[in-house]
This record gives sequence, structure tokens and C-alpha cells, in this order.
Amino acid sequence: MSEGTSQEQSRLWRILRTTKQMCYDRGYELTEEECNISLADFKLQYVDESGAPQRTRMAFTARPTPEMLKKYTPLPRPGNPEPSADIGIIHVEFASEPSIGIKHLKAFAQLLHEKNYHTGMYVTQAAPTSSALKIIPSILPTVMEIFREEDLLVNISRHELVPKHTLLSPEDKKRLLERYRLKETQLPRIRMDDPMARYLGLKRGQVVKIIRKSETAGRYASYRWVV
Amino acid sequence: MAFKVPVKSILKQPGPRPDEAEAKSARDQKNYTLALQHARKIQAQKDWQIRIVNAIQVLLDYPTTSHQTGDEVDASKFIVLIQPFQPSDLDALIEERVVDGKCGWPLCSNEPRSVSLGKDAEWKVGKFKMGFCSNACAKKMAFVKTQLSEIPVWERDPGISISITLPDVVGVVAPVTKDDSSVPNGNYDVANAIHELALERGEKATSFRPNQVMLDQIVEKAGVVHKPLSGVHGADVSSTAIEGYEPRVKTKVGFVDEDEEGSEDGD
Ligand SMILES: [Zn+2]
Repeated sequence: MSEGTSQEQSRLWRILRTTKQMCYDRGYELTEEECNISLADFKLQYVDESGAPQRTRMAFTARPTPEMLKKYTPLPRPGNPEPSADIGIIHVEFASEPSIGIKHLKAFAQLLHEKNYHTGMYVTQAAPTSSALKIIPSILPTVMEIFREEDLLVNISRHELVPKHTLLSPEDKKRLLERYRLKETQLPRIRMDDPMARYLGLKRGQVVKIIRKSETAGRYASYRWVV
Repeated sequence: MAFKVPVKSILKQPGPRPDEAEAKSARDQKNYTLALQHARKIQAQKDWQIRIVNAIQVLLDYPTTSHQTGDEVDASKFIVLIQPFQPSDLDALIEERVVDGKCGWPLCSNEPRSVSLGKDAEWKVGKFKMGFCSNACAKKMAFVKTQLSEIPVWERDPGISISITLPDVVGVVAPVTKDDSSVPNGNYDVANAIHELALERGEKATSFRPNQVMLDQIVEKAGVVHKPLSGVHGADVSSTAIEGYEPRVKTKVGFVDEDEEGSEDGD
């Protein structure tokens, strides 16, 4: 086996691991073993006889855990006393084609629609074309997220300088705002395209709690409103 | 006999007075209308963007026939589809066709050179041309591109359509005219009219992004003579000056100041 193929194998092994850890951190049902698959196991499952990793085989699907469903359930309102959770099954695919255009994303959107998946995650080797990205808002409420392979080589949330981010449930958000007598617009903000916001798949209007470690104050929490 | 004197608060009465309320409702109404206007504009812009992406998708599968027979139909449809395009949309179309393994010129079914030449295409023929099967196709696309308007379609005058000629119809690739002022489409009047309409809508002239109304000709105003920023003693400004002010070097011993003013402040 050449050095190139073994490099490619370990590259994709890292990418798959980060992707699964990301889904786990968001609250999807995945096992610890899946998230920490060893390189040897990765080779057994996803590498063909020639040594080339097979991206199509890496695709997976995961359900949200009950805790995640709770976090994504809006507060009951008079008109809607029992709202359903705004989250569902996620389907993740790894694109084999080096460049991605409208046709690829349309086909992926079609698949999400047919199988009734709530969220689709498409991991691509290069950034899709600008026109392709424009179809993403058109398939709402189905959510499509694009990640570049190179952005998943390391798990940014595990970096020691990145504080712990956790999503607040609508109830926790309400309690927070009441406690501090704030409007959500008065909170500091985090952009949806922030790497950690993308990692957690945050949506506009949600509030994320950020816990930092401080040498002088121990731990302290801050809150940010997703815009 | 106990009178019941009505208690009158010395504090400001709650609730606005009628004339205030009226003014407020008028203001609210105005704000509402304005917000609605902007919302409509944004919606129109989104609708156009979707139409442009759809047009790109249609042109992605061009030519509809592999050989000459259907070319004229395709050509006329092509002209209609790209009407709302800005030049950058045409670039997006080329990009999309190349990803799909097709020559950037929508009426050509060959492979682009980025496919046929492989990795070397970029340095062999250049970034723009590698999206086409040949220089001829690249030229045709460049010819069409120069005819597109830089103004986004949602800011254009709806009454004026852009006439686009295809090089094939003309017969030869017409030379691109360098002198824009010779183009007889009344560009100036259109720009002025759009500008006036925008003012009428309540927009400031500055809310236009300049590249949309600016012409690519720069007209130098007469009588611009370069003057140095600092007029102090009419001296030339050295490269060490900061906004025209020459910082003085202060030395601890034997500080000599040649400037009459402020010679006292050095210490
Ligand atoms: Zn061609």
C-alpha cells in the first residue's frame, strides 16, 4: 500500500469520527464506540480491496434522543398546546465527487424529501458552487447542512481553548430571560456561521450557554443569542 | 356635609392626548408602510434570485439536442433566459456547467478543457478559458457577457429589456467596442430615471451601491491640481509627516526647535 492511500485512509477516518462526535454532541443517538472508532475498525468497514476508502459506505442515519427532542420542542401556546419537536432523523452523506454543483445538491435534497429526513448533512471535498448553495433555503423546512471535509479533520469542540457550548431548551431560555429580566435581543450574540454554532447546528433565535474556565473565577457561564 | 372631591393626580395623566395619539398613529402608519415597502422589495429580490438559479439549472442541460438541428430554438431560449442575469450570474453558469462536465458555452456539448486537459488546464489556457472546449466558445461567452447589465434585475427599469445578440447570429464574433458612449441605448437617461425613482421611494442616493450605477468611464474634473496636504510654510511634505504634521524629534539634550510656535513645550 502506498503512503498516499494510507494517508487518505486516516484522513477519512478522522473526518468520519468528527462527524459522528458532532452528531452525538447535538444529541443524536449514537454509541460511544461509533464515535471513537479505531483506525483498524475503520479500515475493515470502509476501505475496499485496493485500499481506497469508500465514501458512499460512510453514510449514516441517526435519531434524536428524548433529551434532544425536549430541547427542540417549542413552549406550548394557546393555539398550540402540544407542539411537536422541530427536530428529527439526520442523514449524513460523504460526497465522492470532487466538485459539487446544483445537480448533486438537488439529488441529495430529493433523497431527504423521499425518505422524510428532517436534516441532511452533506460532507464535501470542495465547496459547492455558489448557485448550488442557493437551493438550500428553498427546501425548508428540510434542513441541509454542508461541511467541508477539511473542516472536520479535527473536532474543534474538543480543543482546550474552545469553551463548552450547550443549547438551552425553550423552557430554560424563558427561565433565563425571566431571571435576569431581559429581552432576548439584549443578550450578546453568536452568529449562525460561527464554527461552534455550525458544529451544534444552531438555529436563529436559540440561546446557547457558554461555560468557560477561568483561573480567577473558577467557571463562569455566559449566554448568547443565535442570529 | 361631606363633599366627595374627585381626586386629581398631580402626576402626568396616563394615556396620550388626542392630538398626540393622532400623530402617533400617523407615524405608525407611515413606518408600517415603509416597512411593508422594504419587505416587498426584499421579497422581489429573493424571487428574482430564485428565477436566476432556475434559469441556470435549465441552461445546465443545454444544448437540448446534441447536433445542429435544434440550435436556433436553444439560442433564442438562451437569450430569453439570461435577460435577468448580471455578468456574475453568467460566471456562475459557467462554473455549474464545468462541474457537470460541459463546455461553459450553453450551445456547445463538448467537454471543457478543465476536463480534457486535466490538472494542467489552468496554466495552459488560463482560469476563464479552461471552462470551455475551445477559445472560440470562450470568446462567444465573453461577447455575451459584455452585453449583460451590471444592475441587478430587481433594480432595473421594468420597461426596458436588454437586447442581447449572440455571436453566431451576427456571423462573426463582433469586436467588443471599447468606447461605451457609442452604445445607443440611452444608458445615461436610464440611470438618471432609476436614480430619481429611488429618491421618490425615499431612499438616499447613497443607499445605492456605487458599482451599480457607475459607468466604467472615469471623467476627470477639470482643474484638479495636486496640492500637498500640509500648507505649513508652503513646505513640501516629507514621507515622515502624519496627516500633514511633521512629528518633531525630541532629543533630551540640546533640543532645537526651528518652529516659532510651541518652542516652549519641548522639555
Ligand atoms: Zn464549446
